Amino acid sequence: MSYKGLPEVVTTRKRSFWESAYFVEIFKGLVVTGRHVLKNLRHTDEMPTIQYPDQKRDYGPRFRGRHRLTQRDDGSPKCVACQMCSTVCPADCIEIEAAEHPNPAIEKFPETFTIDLLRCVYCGLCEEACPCDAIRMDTGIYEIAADTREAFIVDKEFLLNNDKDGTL
Amino acid sequence: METFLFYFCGAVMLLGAVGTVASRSAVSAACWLILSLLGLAGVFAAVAAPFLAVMQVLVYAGAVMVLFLFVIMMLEGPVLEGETRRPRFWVPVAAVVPAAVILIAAVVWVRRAALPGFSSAAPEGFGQPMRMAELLMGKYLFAFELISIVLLVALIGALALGRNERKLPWK
Amino acid sequence: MLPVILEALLKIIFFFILIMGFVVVLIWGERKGSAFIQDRTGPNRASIGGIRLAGLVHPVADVFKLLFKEDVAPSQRHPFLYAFAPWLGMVVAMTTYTVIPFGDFLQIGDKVYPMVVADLEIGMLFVLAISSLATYGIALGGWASNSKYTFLGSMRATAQMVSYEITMGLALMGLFLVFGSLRLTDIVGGQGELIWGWLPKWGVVVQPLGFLLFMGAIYAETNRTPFDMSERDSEIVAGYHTEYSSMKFALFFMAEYAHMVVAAALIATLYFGGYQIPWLPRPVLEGHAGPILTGLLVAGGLCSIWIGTLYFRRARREKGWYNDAREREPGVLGTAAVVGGLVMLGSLLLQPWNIGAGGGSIFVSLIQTGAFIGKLVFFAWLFIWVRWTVPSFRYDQVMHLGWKIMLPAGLVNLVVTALWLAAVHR
Repeated sequence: MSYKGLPEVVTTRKRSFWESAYFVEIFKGLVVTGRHVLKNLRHTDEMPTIQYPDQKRDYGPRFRGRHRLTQRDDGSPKCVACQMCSTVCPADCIEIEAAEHPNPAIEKFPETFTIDLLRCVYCGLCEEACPCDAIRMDTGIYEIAADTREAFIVDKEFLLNNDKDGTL
Repeated sequence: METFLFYFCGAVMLLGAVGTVASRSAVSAACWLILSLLGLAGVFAAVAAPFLAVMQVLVYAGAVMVLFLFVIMMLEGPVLEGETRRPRFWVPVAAVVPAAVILIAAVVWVRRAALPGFSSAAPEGFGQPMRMAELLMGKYLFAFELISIVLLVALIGALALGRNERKLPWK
Repeated sequence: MLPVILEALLKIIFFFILIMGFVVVLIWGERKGSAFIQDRTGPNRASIGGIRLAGLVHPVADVFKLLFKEDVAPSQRHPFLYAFAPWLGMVVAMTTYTVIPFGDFLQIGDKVYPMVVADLEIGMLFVLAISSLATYGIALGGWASNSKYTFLGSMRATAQMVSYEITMGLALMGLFLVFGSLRLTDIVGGQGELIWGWLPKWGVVVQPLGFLLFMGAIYAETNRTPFDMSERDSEIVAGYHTEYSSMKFALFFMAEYAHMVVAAALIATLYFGGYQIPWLPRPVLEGHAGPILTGLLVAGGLCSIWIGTLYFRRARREKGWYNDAREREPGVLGTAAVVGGLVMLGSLLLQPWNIGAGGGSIFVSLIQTGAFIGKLVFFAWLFIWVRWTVPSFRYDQVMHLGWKIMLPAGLVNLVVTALWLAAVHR
């Protein structure tokens, strides 16, 4: 069978009588799935499922979780409010207001530093862009939940001490 | 019990019949007709003809009307504009009153005529599949086979009429 | 009159509880079975006081969720038919069982109660008639929702069910010929005999082709994969019940499973001997009722205690896994199993081997009902098993299979059966 003399591209294998009779093949399939059921009934613990809230998958060290701001020895943020991260951010979720730093060796510091976690796409470009290792995404926190949208807009204080659990 | 069933199912049947002619959309009419056919099945059951009753449901309500509904739904398409509103109160009244009138008339008539099924007990096995089979395959065999031939002719006729003469591209 | 009504009511309640219980268990079985087939764990979270019963609490939670959900309905629906369709589907599914026998009789004292709600002479025809009405639930529900997907689903379901009803009827006709009756109790009674003294005269033995056709047709009638034309997720969202929510959706959902239960009961009744236990007819069982009951109690008690010890071992192993109420579960279940086992063993003090003729008769009735339920469970599981094994047909394949393969095969089966019976009985 060909359409308008064109060569047939898709070839179908000719099925044998028992294959087209269907019931034998169904039975074979049932044997396969039945074997899985019996195996899983006998060895319930060996299932590959990770029992999520009780067990958690170990993520690699490069996993990008929720952001944090690194601190100097005196506890102030390392950030110099250069706006590199907020410029590079594709989701436009970082907002920084700069202010003059009392220490003349340091030019600026962020007066406010807010991240809208609902807009963030966790791409990690802010980490890459930061010239002084001030923002990092190495907390490993990925369970981010809150009751209101406002709670997802996190400020400087939150980001400076951001290594606890997932709820906001 | 049987008498009650008879009149009740008769009322349902009449209600269905009135609904069939009174409803505006074809699908509603078909639904009413199904109700009417089910009522007829109940009437059959009440007069000790269970086989006929079941066949009524199986063939008419279960198969023929399904095909009717199938075609009507395909052709009529979506629910009509007026149908989405709940019917106003006088619509069921208008359906019930004629049905009640007809029913009362029927009751009076039935009382007068005194159907045999009500006056005397039905013979052994009356209306049961075995008895029906004996009659159909014995006494009325010729008529039965004749009807099946008529149906076969009708089937072939429908096929002949419905055959599409147009040459289809995939043929 | 009153005792008759009371008796019928009790049987109806038995079947109602059986079917509704099975609906709950089957919904659980579908989720858990599909999970195990696909190497997942399935539902195991919902719990009552830490007792999860391998996810059996989930259907209970589902019921509450569906009861309290908002009923979202399309504004351009047909108001009556939209509400009527799920009701019809459920009623039809719950009516069919009236003629299915779940045992032959129950003798209490001098009174003999047949274990079937209504032993109609037209038996199987009644089932066919009622189940043919099931089409309306789906067809009207899909149409009344006034949506293209539901409409497509209901159209497909209608076409499919009409096509396969014929095959089902033809397949059953062969069975009626063999057993010479439409009455289900006669059919089951006939299946208690043995052919050549060793082969049980089950429907599947005398009508193998008829059985395969009936199986296929009933899978199509219940709209289960591989015939799930009416609710194919990948093509028409959820088919005929796309626009339904809350309890109306739950009714459709439960009706599907109730249909499955009834279908499994029908397969067991018609082709696998119903309540009959092969090679152990009623007189034999009654003759040895005492020893059988004693053996069952001992075996059941020991098994239960063994299961209890397994649970205790699990309780030790899982200590400190969860640090919440769930840790209690294996201990509680283990205690229940051990207590149950001890009760079974303790009942030996009542001397069950001296059960007597009356008690023996009741015991045999219960055993036969148990056999029926056992077969029912297997075929209900088969529905689930097949669904998660077999890919479904395309619409044209469904029609091709129904009209061009199964219908002629049903006719051939009927003619061959008739000729064979005519030759044998001459």
